[in-house]
Amino acid sequence: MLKISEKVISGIIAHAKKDAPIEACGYLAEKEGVIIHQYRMKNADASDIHFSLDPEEQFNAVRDMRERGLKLVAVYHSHPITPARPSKEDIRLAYDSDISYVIVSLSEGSETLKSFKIRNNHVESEKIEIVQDQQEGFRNGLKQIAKGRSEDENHSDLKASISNRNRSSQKTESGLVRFYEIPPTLEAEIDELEVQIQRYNEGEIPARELKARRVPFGVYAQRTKGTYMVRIRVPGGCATPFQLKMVAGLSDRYGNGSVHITTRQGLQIHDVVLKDIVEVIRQLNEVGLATRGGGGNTVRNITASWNAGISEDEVFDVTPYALSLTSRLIAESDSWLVPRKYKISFSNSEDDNAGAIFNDLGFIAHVKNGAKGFRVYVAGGMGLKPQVAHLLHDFIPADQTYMVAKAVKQLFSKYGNRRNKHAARLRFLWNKLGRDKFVELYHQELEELKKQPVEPFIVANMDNEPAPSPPIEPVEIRSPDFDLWKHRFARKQRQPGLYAVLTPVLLGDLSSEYAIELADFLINFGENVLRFTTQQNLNIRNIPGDYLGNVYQVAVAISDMSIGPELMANCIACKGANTCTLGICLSQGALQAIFRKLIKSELNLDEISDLKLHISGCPDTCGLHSTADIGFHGKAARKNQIMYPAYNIVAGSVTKDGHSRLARKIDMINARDLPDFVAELLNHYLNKKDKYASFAHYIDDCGEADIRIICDKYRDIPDFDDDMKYYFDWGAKEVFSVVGMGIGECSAGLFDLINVDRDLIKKLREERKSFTDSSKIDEALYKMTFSASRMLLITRGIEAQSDREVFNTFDKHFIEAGLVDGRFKKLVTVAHNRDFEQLRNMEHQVHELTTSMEALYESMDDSLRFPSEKEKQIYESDMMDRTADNDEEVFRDYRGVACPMNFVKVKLDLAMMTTGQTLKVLLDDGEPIENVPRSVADEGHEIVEQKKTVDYWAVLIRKG
Amino acid sequence: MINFTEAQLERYSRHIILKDVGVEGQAKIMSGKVLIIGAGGLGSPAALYLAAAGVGTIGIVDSDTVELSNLQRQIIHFTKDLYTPKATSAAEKMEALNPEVTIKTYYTFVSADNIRGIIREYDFVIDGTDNFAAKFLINDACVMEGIPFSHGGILRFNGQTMTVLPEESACLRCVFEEPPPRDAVPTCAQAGVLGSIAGLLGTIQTSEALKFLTGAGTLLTDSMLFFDILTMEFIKHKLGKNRECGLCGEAPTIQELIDEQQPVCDLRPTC
Repeated sequence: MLKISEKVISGIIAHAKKDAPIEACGYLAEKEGVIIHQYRMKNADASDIHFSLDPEEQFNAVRDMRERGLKLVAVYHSHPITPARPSKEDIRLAYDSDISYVIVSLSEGSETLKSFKIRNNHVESEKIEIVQDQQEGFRNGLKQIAKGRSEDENHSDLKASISNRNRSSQKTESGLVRFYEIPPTLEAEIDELEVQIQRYNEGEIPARELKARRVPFGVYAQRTKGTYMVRIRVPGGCATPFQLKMVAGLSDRYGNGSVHITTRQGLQIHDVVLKDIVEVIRQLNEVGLATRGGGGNTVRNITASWNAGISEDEVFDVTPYALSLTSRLIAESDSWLVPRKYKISFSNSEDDNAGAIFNDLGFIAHVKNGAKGFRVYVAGGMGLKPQVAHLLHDFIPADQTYMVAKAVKQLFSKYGNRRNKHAARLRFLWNKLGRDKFVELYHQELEELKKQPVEPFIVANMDNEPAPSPPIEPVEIRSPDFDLWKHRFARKQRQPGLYAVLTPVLLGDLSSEYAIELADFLINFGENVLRFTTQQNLNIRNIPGDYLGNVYQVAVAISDMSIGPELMANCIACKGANTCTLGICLSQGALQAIFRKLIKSELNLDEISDLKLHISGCPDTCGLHSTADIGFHGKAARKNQIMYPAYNIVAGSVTKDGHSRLARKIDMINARDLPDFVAELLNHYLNKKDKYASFAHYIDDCGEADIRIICDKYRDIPDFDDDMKYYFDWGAKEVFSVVGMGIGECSAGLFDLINVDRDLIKKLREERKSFTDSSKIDEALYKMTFSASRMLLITRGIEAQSDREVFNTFDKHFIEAGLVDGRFKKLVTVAHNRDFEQLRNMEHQVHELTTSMEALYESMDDSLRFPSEKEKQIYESDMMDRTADNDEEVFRDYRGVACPMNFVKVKLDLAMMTTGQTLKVLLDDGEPIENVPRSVADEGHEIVEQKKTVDYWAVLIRKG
Repeated sequence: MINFTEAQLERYSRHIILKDVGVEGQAKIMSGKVLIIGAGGLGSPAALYLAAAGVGTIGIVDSDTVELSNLQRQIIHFTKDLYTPKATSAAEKMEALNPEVTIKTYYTFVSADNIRGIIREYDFVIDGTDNFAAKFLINDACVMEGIPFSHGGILRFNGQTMTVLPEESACLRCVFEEPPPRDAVPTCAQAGVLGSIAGLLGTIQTSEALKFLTGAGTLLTDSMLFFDILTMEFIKHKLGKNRECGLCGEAPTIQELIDEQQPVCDLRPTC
């Protein structure tokens, strides 16, 4: 007999439905004889008739079970269209006669769940008993205690509230606390979005048009076709427990069952299908959460210091300003039509822990002559070319906040660059106009506004006080673990007797189950008890000291990181290449590898709990590497023509009013050795940290040198044949590659990179006109040729380091490939040789080349291809220079290339080689490995060896 | 230098896979130049297969326009092409089949005056003409210019073909001294022809052209292939160079090209 909790059963069915028509699969684990936990896994076969568990997920699940004291008792999978009985395949593959095989069938419109034991191909069915979940019971217990205070209609069963959308809005409003006001026009806008989605489904409008409609609603397409992410506005990271519960419930029902916390303190629901989008948005709207402005060229989520209102050191509580400004700005229709995103932030002290200085508009709290106000910064930003903001006002009275934000918005709207979204952020306008002009135009806008009647900007006070009488009993815990946790994560608030508790969330992903558990617990302490932080964690506030034991129990239950050092909570990794189309490296895998290394290390991480370690998968700063103490951004490097994942190392940023600066690039490290690098660097720092006021000081003094010395150790990586690990990214199952990289939905890092050169060329071309000094002319012409050569290399996945590499790769990938006229070959050689006299003679060609490159750039399509490539994509023109080096082994990856094209390509490669030279090819298992080597041998070449690796083959061929 | 695009690799994959063609062979095809004289029954399949194979440059000579009676066997022309020049109609189809090949059209009869200038640009010539005068003119011009060619002819249910490598192998005049007397051999118009044998012979000629370009196999030289489709007999007659040949023998008498007197078919629609 198999005892399964009710919740797990509904979880299995939900998984089956979600993954249909593909078979869903996973593990079931028990505690004390009852299955209480389900591990949803990916069907690695992605098939509708069979399944196989992903090995990495299996491993993780088993480890997780061990940690939680659970035991694996069953494997479940779904039969989307066939009955709930084991198929022949199921019987054949049943490897363990001790565990149960649970099959859920969705056939004929109803769900049937059955369990079987399979021994020696013999199937025996097994009875299932449904058990009330213990966890659920615990929560219900809490709820019952909470009754009488918060168990009103709005806090009643979540499922009911989700399915019953037709509740009267009056009731909704009466009981709900909202932190900002959603304009009444939003409902009509949601209706309009619904119409557009309908039209898209009926083929009336193209995907591009739908994109233009959905992105400003915070709805982004994900890498998996047909699934979307919904981003929710949560100003200052303030949400009520009930709002968190609602988001979690929606994700459970419509999304991936997880709540994602962003680095701008917002929330995201992932994996929502198009037909559910409007429903999700409407239900969020009902609880006072808007998605409008979650993306696109809009006023984005306004951030604020996570500790505003409770910090001992703050100037004053800035949260109410972030909230009121949100309510005002999102009621204005032009907030959806700015030239590019408009990001605003509030910090409560000079420490600027909200990073106001890195926003389009940043407010840092100050008091002048006893009056509250702000120092105002403008035109900062992250992205590919991060910039520290510039001072706009040394002080403005706090009631001017809205006017300033509005004036900047109008200035931006009027003068911003709408044509080129890659040079559209406010900082580009600042750079274009220069300080004086920008400030002058801004003041014009401000004066204009002052002439008009404007509603006064009123902010409400936010109370940070204990709930009158929490309806649960305090739990007293005496244990070293508790004390350590308290030391690490609980901070005394300004309000006597109250505590704020940091609850780390790994990579910002909190499962709905845990989110609901937490929300149910927090409801006991009032509405103002929760902040999402820019480090993608949760901060719980206004907890009376007596209740820290209760918080500890919940925190440890929902966050494994609560038992670790705080350092890890402060780490950030962007989504990276596993979901982001711009991603180069698997930043999240790298961060987890670093964690594993640090946990195993002897380092005293509590000494450096404030250290910020941030990782981005590409040069774009989604992982905030530019504002890290030690930051990394992914790149592709090569050894012997084979690509491997690597990271550029940046370090030494400072975030403090008046002293802020970005992290600077120091060196690079291959991804495989990254964890060792981090451990070694931290070790150096721990040994010396007493001498320095901050990590930035350390970097300035000797840290930079330390980094270079460590990097030198790891600079030379093994050849592919000697250690393939170096060519696999963290958590990747395939050899590293940048194939499939495309243009992101939101940012456009690649374009920013291209624009560096485009802008440089424009600038140089302008400057050239005024130059008379020949050395200056030489330099300008050289730089123009260089930038023209480099600007589109990135579209081929090349990040050339040296000038030599730039010219060589340009020659190969653009001139030889026929994308650029062959006559420029000479120019490139001349520039390469720094033959300035000749270069001056060829000046007209320099200009022609820059014009050609600009034209090529303009003609590029969304997949980074140029028109001529559609017809003539030169196949591996780098084969040309290979024939010369007879003994060099040629490497080709033909996995994913079907028969007979793989053989055709191998023949082509061999044709370009000389007798005796070797070719190593990777081929898929099955037909390719059965056919290609045989055919190659038939033609008189020698198959030196063939080895199977995971699910593909490496074949070494010597040309006959 | 072999520059194959992804699309080319795929398009020509079935050639590249062939051991005797391979990458190098396909590259030769793609840089090859073949002239088809006559866009009729023989020229139709030749033009299509050469274009499909990716022959770099294909010339097509024909001064006629498409007639209704052509359509029974000249499969490169469609009903919609009636009364358009055959060279145009053929080029259009070849272009559609494979935009990568360069097609040159010549709206003319080959004659003693122009033929040498035309064939000189090509590596191989396919004779798809319908009369002996033209066949001998092509033979003489190719031998004089040293350009290999495939001779071919069809009538009723029969066909004949041979490949000529000037100097090396027997030419048409080694076998037949001169064209048969006028009206000794009926034309297609008079005697008729089974449409499909145009395809049969035209593709044999094309195969010879492709073999020549790639160097694969042995050419149909010093032998004439005859077939009779009614009995399905294919006979290969061994021949040899004729020392007495007026064109390529030891004492050649033919020094310059002349337009033979024999007119083209009396009735316009021909093979």
